[in-house]
Amino acid sequence: MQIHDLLTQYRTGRQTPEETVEAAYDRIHSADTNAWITLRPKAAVMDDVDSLGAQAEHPLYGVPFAVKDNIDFAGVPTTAGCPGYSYDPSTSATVVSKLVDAGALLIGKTNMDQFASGLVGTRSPYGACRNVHNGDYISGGSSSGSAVAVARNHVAFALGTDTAGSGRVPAALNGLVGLKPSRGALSTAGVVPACRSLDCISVFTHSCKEAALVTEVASGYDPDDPYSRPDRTLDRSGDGRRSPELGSLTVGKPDADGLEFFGDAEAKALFSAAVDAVGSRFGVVSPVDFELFDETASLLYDGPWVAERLSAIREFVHENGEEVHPVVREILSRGEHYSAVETFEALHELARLKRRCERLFGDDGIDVMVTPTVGTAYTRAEIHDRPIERNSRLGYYTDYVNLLDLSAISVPAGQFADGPRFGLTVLGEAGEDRRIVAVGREIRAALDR
Amino acid sequence: MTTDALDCSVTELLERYRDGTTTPEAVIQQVYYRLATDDSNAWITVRDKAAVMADVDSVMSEPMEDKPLYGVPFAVKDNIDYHGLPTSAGCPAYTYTPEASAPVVEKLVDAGALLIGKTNMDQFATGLVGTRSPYGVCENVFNSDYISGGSSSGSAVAVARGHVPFALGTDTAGSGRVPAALNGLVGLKPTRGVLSNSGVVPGCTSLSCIAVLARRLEDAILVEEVGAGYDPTDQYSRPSAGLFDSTQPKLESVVVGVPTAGDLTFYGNDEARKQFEAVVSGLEDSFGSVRRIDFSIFEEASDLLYNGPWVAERLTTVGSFIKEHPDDIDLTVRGIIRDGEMYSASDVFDAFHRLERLRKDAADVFESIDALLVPTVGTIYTIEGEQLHPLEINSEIGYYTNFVNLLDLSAVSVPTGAYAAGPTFSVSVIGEAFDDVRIAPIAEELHEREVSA
Repeated sequence: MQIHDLLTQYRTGRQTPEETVEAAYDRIHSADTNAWITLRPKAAVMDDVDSLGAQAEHPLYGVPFAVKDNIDFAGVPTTAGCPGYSYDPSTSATVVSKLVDAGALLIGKTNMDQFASGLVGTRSPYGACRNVHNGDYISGGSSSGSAVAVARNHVAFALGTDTAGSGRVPAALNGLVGLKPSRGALSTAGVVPACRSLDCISVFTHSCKEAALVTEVASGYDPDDPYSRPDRTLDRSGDGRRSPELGSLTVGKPDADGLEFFGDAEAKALFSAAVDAVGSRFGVVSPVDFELFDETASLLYDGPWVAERLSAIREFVHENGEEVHPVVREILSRGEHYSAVETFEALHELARLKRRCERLFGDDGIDVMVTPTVGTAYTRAEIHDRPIERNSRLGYYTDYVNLLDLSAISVPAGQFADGPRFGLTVLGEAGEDRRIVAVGREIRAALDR
Repeated sequence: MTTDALDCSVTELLERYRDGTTTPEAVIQQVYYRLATDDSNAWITVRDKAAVMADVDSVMSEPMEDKPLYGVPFAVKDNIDYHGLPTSAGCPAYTYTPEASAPVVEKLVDAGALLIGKTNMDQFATGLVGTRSPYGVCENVFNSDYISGGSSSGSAVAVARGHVPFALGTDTAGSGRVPAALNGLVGLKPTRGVLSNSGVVPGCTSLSCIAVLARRLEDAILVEEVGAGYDPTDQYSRPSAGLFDSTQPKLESVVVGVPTAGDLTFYGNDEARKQFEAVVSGLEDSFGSVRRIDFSIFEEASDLLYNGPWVAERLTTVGSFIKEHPDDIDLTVRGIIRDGEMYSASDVFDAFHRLERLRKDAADVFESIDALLVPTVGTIYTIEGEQLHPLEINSEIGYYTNFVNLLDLSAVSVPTGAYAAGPTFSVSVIGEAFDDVRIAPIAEELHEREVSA
């Protein structure tokens, strides 16, 4: 299910939104995927179809979509993956309202690692999600259901969230585009916070072109979100199809010391092939010192930001600890052990790391960087054996991105013999969303040749 | 040779050099003449006159046009490094001797300024009073019964007593503005990050600014411009990006924001209230219009600083020192800083989330005003009185200053009048980040020069 195909079908009268919705629900009910927590009644969606205005005025006219269940939709419960936490929002999240106003049809709320704590897709009382290409493998998370729903064509696009990789990891493993826009570009009003200062809404689509369109419709300064950044919104180019002139770019990649595949030779080869494709389009891909990113990542997973996660839901966790997934509870409890002093020290360290990163992307440095999205793919059994260590490893290439205030997109870049897909991430500085999407698109074209 | 070269401003001194009325050598002689009989506790370390004279020789060997601070003597607070001189941060046991000067100090020296020495301060920049120092209490220069204010107490006294025409202080929560306000000086707190904090022992690392204390605002801006420059070694340094080329609004179009009467407090000091009201009542004569604004946002931010986790940030600077030398620290300072230990990581994140909201709210206020006008300090305090209620009084003093760095604003304090008892009454003109030059004419218009000593 592709957005632009749907729009053409509607415009030429070959298909109606009702037919699209029917087909979506058929597909949803055809298999047990655990992708959904709450499915809206089909009749409710059909009512939305009836009140759609003219297609010409609605850039996402009749396009079915899903949102991760930590993002509010009015009239449908928000659980954040925890039944005891569930509440009924009276208003939709700002971004959801924009998409609905543009004609998109909200089908339901998708499954997730509880409280967005995880990169695996296994930490949910609503069931674990599976990789759509091989059910033995994890779907990745925490936006697991959103990724599965798009990959299985239940919907054309979905929203996730991404603090430490939750929008990129499941995209990579299921063969989707996962865009994490710059912090502040998409409003987080109406989103259950994980790390309030870092959270981003993410976008899952099949193609970069669709990701650009959805993000443009969804973006816009929101005075209700103190983290919304007016200087970060993507300018409306009307049809969302125009890409910036890319010309020649300096592309970087992690140096040999920084590359980590956790013993997975197949992943290593896949990355190598992807880098060759990048090189064929953009010229030499320069190795850069990965230490800066490594140090930043360890600030996140081994530092006080877990206390930021805890502070968002501290009261709930204290009063309803038994309702929290045990692995999630264990992780959150670590938040209690960090002091304010340690936090300030970490913030000072982060400021130093940001300066180094600015120099790396500076005038004499790189324009974008490519990395694997994940260094290896895990089976559900492997995650069951070592849930914390392997979850950490999934974040190797994702943890540092929001801390350093970068934009990122994961694009499909190959597949493992067992089925799960391999993703390549393109990183840019904040405000470079349009550029990284365009780069992602060209890399896919180069890989297809 | 005039004997009042040091009672003039930087700009006036440069003028006198230019027209040959005096020379740097003569001025330095006067500086040391005054210092010889000084008992103000303003200074912790004074350089040998011979060393400064050697600096004079090298400055005078270059043309004046190349040196915007040619031959101007100055002081720096003793938490700012000067190569070869000890830095104490107000604590003898903490003292170290840096090999290099702070980059800002180097820039001033390269511009021809002559460093005389290091000034007294509330220990570890923890205080707004000027009484928390083993190097002695600083007194208000107009009335020795009253506090000088702090923590840049010595810098204020040194300039106000005419030892030097300008001095550097630091300002996290008001430490540059308050002592300037009480001693008849201009106290400029530049936009955060414009002056590098390398070589500075900060109060709160992420908030602290080097401040400039001088007799005239044009002096302070000149010093800021000479000292400015992105410093990659300071992780909070920011490029000044056109700040010094800002267009300044015509006074007749300026909208001045003033807190509503209910938000203003003078802690029962009617004289203070009258002083501020006198300023406010004259605003419409000088400017376009006055707009009453809701001060609660700013008050909340002040409270967030004073009663929130930022005290823990002080521990990142001096925490291990306090652990190793608990008895070498001023008791009040130690008690305050140690309080930082009771805050958790969650407290910090919660505070930052609240702050993010307040920043947006403050930005909304500034949409409709050019600058915010407040008293710098709501009242004045005797030294004796301050010693009885140190924490409460310090909190009162910070009411109009605490919020400024947290909300990433720029501010300058200018004297507008004097209390009968002697200390000066001052107002602060506050703008958004990078508005330092933009709001200067507003402050300049309000500055009452007659009150300077």
